[in-house]
Amino acid sequence: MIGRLARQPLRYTIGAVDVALTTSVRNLYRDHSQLYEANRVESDRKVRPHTIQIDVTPTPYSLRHRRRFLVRTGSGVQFEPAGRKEVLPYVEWAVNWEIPKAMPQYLQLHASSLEVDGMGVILPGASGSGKSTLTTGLVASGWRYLCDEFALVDSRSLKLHPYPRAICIKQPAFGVLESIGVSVRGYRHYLKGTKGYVAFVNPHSIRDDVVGRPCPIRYVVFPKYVANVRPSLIPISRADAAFRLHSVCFNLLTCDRLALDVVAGLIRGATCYQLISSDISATCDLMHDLVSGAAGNHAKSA
Amino acid sequence: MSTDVVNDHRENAVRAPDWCPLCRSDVTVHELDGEGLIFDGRTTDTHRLNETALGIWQACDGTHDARRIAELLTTQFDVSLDDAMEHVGRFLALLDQAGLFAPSPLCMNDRLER
Repeated sequence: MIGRLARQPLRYTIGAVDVALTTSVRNLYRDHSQLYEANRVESDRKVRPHTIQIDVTPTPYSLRHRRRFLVRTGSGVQFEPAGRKEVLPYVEWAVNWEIPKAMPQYLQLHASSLEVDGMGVILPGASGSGKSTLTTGLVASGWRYLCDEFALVDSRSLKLHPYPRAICIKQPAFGVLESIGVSVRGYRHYLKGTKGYVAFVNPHSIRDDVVGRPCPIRYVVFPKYVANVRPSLIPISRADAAFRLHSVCFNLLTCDRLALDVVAGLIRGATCYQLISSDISATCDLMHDLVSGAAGNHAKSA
Repeated sequence: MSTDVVNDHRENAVRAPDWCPLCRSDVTVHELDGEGLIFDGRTTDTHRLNETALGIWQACDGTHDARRIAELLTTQFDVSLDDAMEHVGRFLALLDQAGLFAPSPLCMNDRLER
């Protein structure tokens, strides 16, 4: 059974991203299949040129050395997680690593991305800014999910495209999401490098019809989490926002169009804010008010 | 202006008083609501200019020296010529240090007269 699994890749279309995973690691096969069940495609379908190939194999058992796993990409990059609990995070990481190379037609920004009423909203921010938690909260309250890690911007149309991968939630945020009805208890926990324990949430488990469609970006909101304050939105200039977006491009030099041209183009159609986020429910309410045009009372001057 | 300042031989160079700065034509410039963004493909530095800085940048066309640029500023903003000269001088030095000017040994006006 495991030998057959190794020969037959698991193939997925995750929004704009095609992935082919080959593995003989039974737990990984099971976990990945469960997370991306809604994205499976037939293995005999023709492989598209930009498909990201990932291969995961265990090293042989040894009495002297701890067993490791080899996570290899089609372009030759290799990771070596040590334990089973680290493998899935590294597979996700490997896919992220390959996307800039495989898909230069998109400008890739380090940002969560969502769609609401045909409008794209991106939340750029470094790890720990709370964007994945806020994204999950907004999705649970009715927004459509595009991605928790990337904003994929078509370099020609400037539209935001979906890459609805499993949402990665860090352990400190588990209780926050439980408080708004998003349970992570049924999910396995994994070890993701310095970020500690994480859970991967299948976005389709939050609600049906959860994945958004390609859309123009109308709001650029930079979240910053501050505990025990009232959430607020501070307008910032488009130049400030564009400068900050440019600095979080994953493929600044490999996008098929000049990154600043793409950023300047998309920002001209957007309104931009710094978000001071706090309590998840109050912050989601503030974001609802923003996109419905009712956020004027909450917005402070820059 | 920019978080990354290019460190090269121009760092300590002193320009002649009648130097007429000329913006490089191979940098990418975008104007957004009166502010500017400049991307230098050679260094991959990005520079953000506020309204005043953008006005100075746009005056760097090889025909205006620092005094003339400062005079232009006084027509747009409520600032004395001495203050404008000081700000323009410092800003031009920053742009020069970042390598954003093309070689322009002579002011274009001087070249035409000669």
